[in-house]
Amino acid sequence: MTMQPNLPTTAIQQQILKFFQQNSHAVETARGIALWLGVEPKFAQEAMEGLVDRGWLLTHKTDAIVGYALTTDEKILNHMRGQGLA
Amino acid sequence: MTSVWIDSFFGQPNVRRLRDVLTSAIAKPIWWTIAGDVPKSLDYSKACRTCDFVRSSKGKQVCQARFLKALEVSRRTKEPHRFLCPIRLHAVCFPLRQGDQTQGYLALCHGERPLSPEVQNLAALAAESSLQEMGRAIELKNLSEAIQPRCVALSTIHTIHRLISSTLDLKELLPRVARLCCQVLRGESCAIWLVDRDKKRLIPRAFVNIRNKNQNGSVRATRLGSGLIGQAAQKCQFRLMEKSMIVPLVEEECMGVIMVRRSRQAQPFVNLDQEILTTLAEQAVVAIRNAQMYETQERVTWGTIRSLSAILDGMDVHSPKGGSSRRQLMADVAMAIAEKMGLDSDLQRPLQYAAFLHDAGRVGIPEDIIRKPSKLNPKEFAMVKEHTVKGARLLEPLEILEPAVPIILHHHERYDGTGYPKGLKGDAIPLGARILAVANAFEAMVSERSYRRSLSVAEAAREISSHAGTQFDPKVVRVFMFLAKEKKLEEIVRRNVLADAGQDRGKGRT
Repeated sequence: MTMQPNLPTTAIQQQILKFFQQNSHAVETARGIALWLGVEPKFAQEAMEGLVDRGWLLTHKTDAIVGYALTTDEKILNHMRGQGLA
Repeated sequence: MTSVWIDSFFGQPNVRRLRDVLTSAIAKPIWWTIAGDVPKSLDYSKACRTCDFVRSSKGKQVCQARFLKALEVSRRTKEPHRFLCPIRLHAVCFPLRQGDQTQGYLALCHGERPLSPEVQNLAALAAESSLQEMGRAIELKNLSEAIQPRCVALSTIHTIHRLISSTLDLKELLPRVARLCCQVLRGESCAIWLVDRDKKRLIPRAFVNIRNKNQNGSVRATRLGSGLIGQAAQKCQFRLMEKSMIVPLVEEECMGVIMVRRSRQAQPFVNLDQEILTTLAEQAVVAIRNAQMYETQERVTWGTIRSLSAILDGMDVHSPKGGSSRRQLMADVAMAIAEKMGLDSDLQRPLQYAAFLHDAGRVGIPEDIIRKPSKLNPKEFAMVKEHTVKGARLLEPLEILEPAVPIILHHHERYDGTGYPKGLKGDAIPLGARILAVANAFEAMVSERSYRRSLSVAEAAREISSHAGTQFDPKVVRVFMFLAKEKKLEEIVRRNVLADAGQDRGKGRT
């Protein structure tokens, strides 16, 4: 991936990213994240899709479920560390 | 740590109110907060801004001696202690107690008025109660910090369970498990071998390298008992190394091995990682076993279908090459249409079964009618029409074929409602049956019959197109015509003709 990720723009995206940085082994659904953060599932879903588009998160998909997780791309992780985010 | 604790204590709304009450009661005091034990000295940097006496080092010494003595009394008695400072102003110190422990001291000096014993006692009580409240809050926070990672881990395990149990296809399942292992363990690559008991070997079934996707061929089969992988499988042993972990997949016996590697730059694996991989492996075992059982069931089902198909082959007198190749062609066309229409695999499989068994009901029709080369009379045609109902009844008891039965029953319905057996119209006809009707007609046209020549693909496509909306569903015909335009139908016909030729050569040899 050659994407240069921008900083997450919304507060909810920052919360989500913080959750995945603190729990880097986590694979979580949008509904699960909504429960962890106490936000509406649809807002969590939108925010997570935005983070996937920017390359911060990646997805594990089946027909029935989408699991979100922190990116494994070392370039993006280094970029996050550079921003003091990881 | 203690300053955080003190900040947290003074940040509480009740404590802020207490400060206001005491400030007003004693009038313009200097506040002191002391965390932990009675200190050896005091920090006068703030106090000397208000009190002239402590600006000199001599004054500081005198004040400190008296102050520390008062704190010591408070520590010993565990009670608030009032005293007069060297310049005869009022002071008081409160021990901040939590159970048997004194967590620190709250002190006020430079007061213009003495603190009445009633206010002093009330303040001590309020401070103690706030401290207890804070203690509970801290305990709760610590508990939450300890529990949350475990809850996240449990939730992750649940998500992974849902991700890996949603497929019964081993070819899809094993790479998915490998990717999830890399994800959860922050690994660079993951390989999965499954045991082939007959050959006493471990066969690589999945390999994922998240950095280099071209390395997929780099995992080899290995003998049971040979090397780290073979030994792990034979002895059902875990291996935890700095940058790699090997965990056996164990049900009653070892069914395979998972190996995860980290890059050279990454942190080494620790025992917790092994625990996580073991938990993942336990989940994978169940999913793999289910997928293997499903594969076995699928093989049995296909065996049954092919056996039934072979029985029908013997009866298929219209095709000089026999019925199985006809049915394969029909199945291929039906599947190509279904795929192009975006049907789920759950709907495609029954369609495939139905393509092979759609004429199963012909076993109940007298042979002389089936073999009759001339036109059937109305009575004979009525008997032939019964083959859809008979076929459905014949196959109904086979649970695995249940979703295929409506397709078989209705594949001779016409879109305009003039078909049989029920005269269903439009979308009331099951979609699978509408697709099979087109595939069936196409196959009949392009196949050679003893009583007529076969049509070319283009001729057959034109013929089918001309019956869109009457005999056939226009939506299905549209997709069918797209496949014709893309030469997909020609490919299917060519492939089946070649397969036939192969069969013929085989027959020649035997």
